[in-house]
Amino acid sequence: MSIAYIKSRGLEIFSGGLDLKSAGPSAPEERAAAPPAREKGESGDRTQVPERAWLILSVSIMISAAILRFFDPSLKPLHHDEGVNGLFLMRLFREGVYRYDPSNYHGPTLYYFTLAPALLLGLNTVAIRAATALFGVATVWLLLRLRRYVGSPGALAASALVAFSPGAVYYSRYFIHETLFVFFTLGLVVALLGFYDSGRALHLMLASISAALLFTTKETAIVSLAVLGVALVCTRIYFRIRMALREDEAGRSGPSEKEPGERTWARAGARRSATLLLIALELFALVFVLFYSSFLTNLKGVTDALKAFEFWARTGTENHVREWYIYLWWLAQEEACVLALGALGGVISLWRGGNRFALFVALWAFGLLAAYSLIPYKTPWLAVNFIIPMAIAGGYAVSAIYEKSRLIAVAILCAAVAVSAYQTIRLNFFHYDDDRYIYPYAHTDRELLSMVDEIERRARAEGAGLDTQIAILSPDYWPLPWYLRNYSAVGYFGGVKQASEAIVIASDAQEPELQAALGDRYRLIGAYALRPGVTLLLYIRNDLTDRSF
Amino acid sequence: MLLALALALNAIVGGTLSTYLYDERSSPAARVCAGACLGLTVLGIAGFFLAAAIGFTQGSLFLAAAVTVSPLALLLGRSYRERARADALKALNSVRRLGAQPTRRDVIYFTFYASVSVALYMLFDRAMFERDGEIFTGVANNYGDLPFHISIVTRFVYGQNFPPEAPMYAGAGFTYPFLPDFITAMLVLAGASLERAIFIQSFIVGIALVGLLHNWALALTRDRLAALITPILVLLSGGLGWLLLLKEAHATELGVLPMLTQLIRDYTIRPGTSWRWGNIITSLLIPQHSILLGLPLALVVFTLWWQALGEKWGGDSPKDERAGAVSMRPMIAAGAIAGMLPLVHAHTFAVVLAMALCLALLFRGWRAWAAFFGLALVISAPQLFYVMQGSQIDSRSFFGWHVGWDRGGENLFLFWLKNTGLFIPLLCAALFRKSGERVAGRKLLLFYLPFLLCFVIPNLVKLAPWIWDNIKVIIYWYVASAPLVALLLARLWRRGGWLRRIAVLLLVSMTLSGSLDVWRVLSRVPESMIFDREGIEFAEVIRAVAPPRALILHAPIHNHPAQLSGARSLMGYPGHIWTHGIDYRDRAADVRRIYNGEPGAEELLAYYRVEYIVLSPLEAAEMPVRESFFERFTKVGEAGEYRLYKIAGP
Repeated sequence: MSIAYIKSRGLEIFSGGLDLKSAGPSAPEERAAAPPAREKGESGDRTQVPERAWLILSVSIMISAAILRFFDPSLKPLHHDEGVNGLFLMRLFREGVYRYDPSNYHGPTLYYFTLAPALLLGLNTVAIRAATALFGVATVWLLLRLRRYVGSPGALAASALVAFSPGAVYYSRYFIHETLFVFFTLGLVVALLGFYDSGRALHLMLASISAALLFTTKETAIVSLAVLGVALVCTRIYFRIRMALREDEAGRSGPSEKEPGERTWARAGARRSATLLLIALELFALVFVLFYSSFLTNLKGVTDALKAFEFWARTGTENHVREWYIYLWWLAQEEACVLALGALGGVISLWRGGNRFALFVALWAFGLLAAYSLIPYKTPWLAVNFIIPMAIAGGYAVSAIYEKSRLIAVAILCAAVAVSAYQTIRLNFFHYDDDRYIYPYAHTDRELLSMVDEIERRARAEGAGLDTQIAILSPDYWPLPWYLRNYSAVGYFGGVKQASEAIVIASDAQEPELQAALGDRYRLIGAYALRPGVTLLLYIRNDLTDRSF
Repeated sequence: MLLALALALNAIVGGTLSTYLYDERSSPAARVCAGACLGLTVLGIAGFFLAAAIGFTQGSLFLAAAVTVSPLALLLGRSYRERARADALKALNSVRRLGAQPTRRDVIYFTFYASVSVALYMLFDRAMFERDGEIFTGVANNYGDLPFHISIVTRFVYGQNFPPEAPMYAGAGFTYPFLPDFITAMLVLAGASLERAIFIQSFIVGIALVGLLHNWALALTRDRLAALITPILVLLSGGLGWLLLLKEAHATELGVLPMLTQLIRDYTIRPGTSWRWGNIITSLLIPQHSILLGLPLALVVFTLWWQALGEKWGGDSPKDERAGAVSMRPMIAAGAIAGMLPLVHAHTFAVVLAMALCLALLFRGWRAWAAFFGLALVISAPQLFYVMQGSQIDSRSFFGWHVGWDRGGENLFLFWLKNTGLFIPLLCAALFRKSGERVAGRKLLLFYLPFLLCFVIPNLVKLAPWIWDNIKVIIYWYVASAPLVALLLARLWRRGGWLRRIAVLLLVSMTLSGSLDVWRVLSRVPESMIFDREGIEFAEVIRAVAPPRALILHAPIHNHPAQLSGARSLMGYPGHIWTHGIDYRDRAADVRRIYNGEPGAEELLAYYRVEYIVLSPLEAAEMPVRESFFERFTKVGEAGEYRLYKIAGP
């Protein structure tokens, strides 16, 4: 990017000269002012995708993302954690009560944002997963909004990679906090970019809200924010060095260019900047307090939220401890295309030094990977956090290749999307509970749904329907409370007892004790795998069995 | 059936051509819409007086059709012929353009009217339908009204009810705007089934109403977007009832979307609650045939008034007619049309006269207004005189102080907020907004002012025995206010950004409840049987056995099969009789005495000159019945459990 252009279009510096001509319709005046010359080696025409092609491709990607995320969301049984989250939602939906508990669970946004789908579709599995699916699709949409910063081919590639990413799809069809968390992280980045670009207060407020929602979604917000900050600082340092070197080469001297952020603040004026910052902070506090205090019904939740970091610092070193390289290994197996293209994008951005945003994203992606690798606690859903920036970096790589050879870039992207699509479909619609894959992490076996159907059939035949008495003796039973949520007489005993209920559910490990407790009053209907290592046994009282069947 | 369609087409053609007599500027589509309503009304009035004079036969039908289509004679005049030809070419070109090179506006209009036509077709198709030899309605609010309208139609078709006698109360003059039902009767006589006759008429007038609403709003606001929003606001009228859906979806945990496939209740009106502002389609236009024709005719009159107001008021009258402040020709036409209203819809007639009086005070031009009132009174007087004969209406039951319409114990402001949502606040914003450009100009504000009385008066005074019927007046306030609210929304939309989204949200919030009620009908979930197979067969038995004007005694319920026969009923449903202001209590007691076979029962039968008496499970369910009393009469017909006895004459 020429120095002259930097001077005249300081706020555009993040775009790095890529695809400014095809900038979104929101900035027609910027398009008009775009310089005829581009950065050395980057011809303007070569970075463009025709407008019609952009429209068709972006709509196709959105539709594909929506189909993959919304198709039969109840196909996969709920994971243990989804069941727990479902219980919180159930209480909030039915009684309007939610109390934040820092010791065990994440923030409240998931439950509040799922209220609308639950109201629209009913309190069922489709609705709760529709909420996360919606955020998953919205993430793909946000990626398309990065067109100004990574170019049209880059934005299309990044969104396609995420739309078809096995992990992104899997956890968009999963009622946990991760998809929301990832959306708010990206939302924060996109809003800040918008603010850097336009200096509009609205963008700063959106960034503030995104940051607040990030913190009210999950405690790991601190990790993401730290990595984003480090990535930003490193990007600035790197570009200062590059600029200084260029100036030395050119034999120039004089005051160095201001950073884009500095220019935005300078243009805004000190008083306005301070006011904006203050309002943004207040907005952050407001959203934070509203959610954690359950909309001012539980003020203790706000102080509890601050304690959460303490709990999670402990959990992060005790549970789910894995080798430091496990994320790389997992990514290599399930997200090879995103990983490879992301790494390539990082290298290109470092080498060319022409696009601050691309470098920032690469640092964000691999910085986050490094951070989560350093933390002993490792679960596959955390990988979604770095899949998104990796996909953006990958998009930048595709965009850079596109400048040199459209054919190669399209071929690479098509191959990557084809591989990802195959993996996604195989995982999400066929092997969603197969623990040989990475993402189904101690996942509930599909046999559980057969057991739930059987219970429903027996309860209906028995005549009591939803009032049928059910005793759960197994200590492992999640996500059964979700599936049995409409039954009014379900007892969770966590151990064997003398039962008289119509239906008894125990685990195979309890079989010897069961014999004594149930005697010949009950009949075994079937054994159903709950998850690897746990099998549930379904018993029904003999008189009911005889009467109904 | 074909003859019935030809009769309707004949009325549309005649009515459309008649618009050239008074209207020089309207679009072809607006002419057809106005013409359809005018033509059907003229057909009905001509047919009625001809039938009263020479009998309700094919002959009177033919003569009425000839009168209706007489404006064809205008084509003999060169100027009329050229204007009609130009309009026809214009319409043809529009159709061609739509096929070849449609503009954005063409596409929007086509989509709008195609959607409205399909929706109205499906809605009116559910007003009355037959299945397996039984008659149903798919509109919950039509359950009570449909049998009443059927009885009016059958009394004309099979019972030669001239001069009209109340079908639900033998011996009383029929002081009711029966013309729309008489038009249905004409279509039945022309060969259409009862079901199709009601459909044909309703569908034609329904489409015309949408077009006239559009045209009127366009004339008033000169804003194409506001003109398009107005029919949406009116047809999907409702309040905040959609909140009930959210509440129910939450309580049942079913979810809003799954509930939409099985809506079991309305969301604008609920019996026994303070939700009273029923959606105009499902509560008024489908159940009340009179207002369906009265409303579009009133819109034609209102539009003519607006056109008549001269430049002095900021109007747009043509130069040659700008001699006075109010042009003469549109006022003469308005007077003639207003004069036809008493037999179409009495409340509309009253509203039109009252509004005219107020407007005459606001927009001075005595000659034009005198022409309007003179013509309206001259044309309406014979109709009023005719229908008032033999009336047993107790006028005291119509009027009285009653604050807050049908609010029950609800706070007045809360009541209207619930029932109309943000409509009133937005109307206030449209009327009183002062910052920047005013939403409505001075002329429009002055013109609108009298219509506020259509809201204020029914909120203070009872205008019908049943307070809910005040809606027949309040609806004119709503229809007049809708263009103003639409204009406000259109202005918000044009300002783009967040305001555009807010405009959409506001429109959705005001039409969502109405949409739910309309959707409920379209989803074909509700259906209520009005007459069962045996009942319909029994009506045929009565027609075969009893003479056309025979007086029959049956249970006073709203859907007794005897009402299908065309015979006279000693006493119909008290709910209907009461709303017509007739004191029925003595007769109701006598009916019970007769069925109970009490001493003097035979004398009562003789006193009322009852010729036939029905005995069926319906009578047994309604009151004590002593079967042995009926053994003295001759059973002359039966169908299933329905039996018809002949009472020996004196």
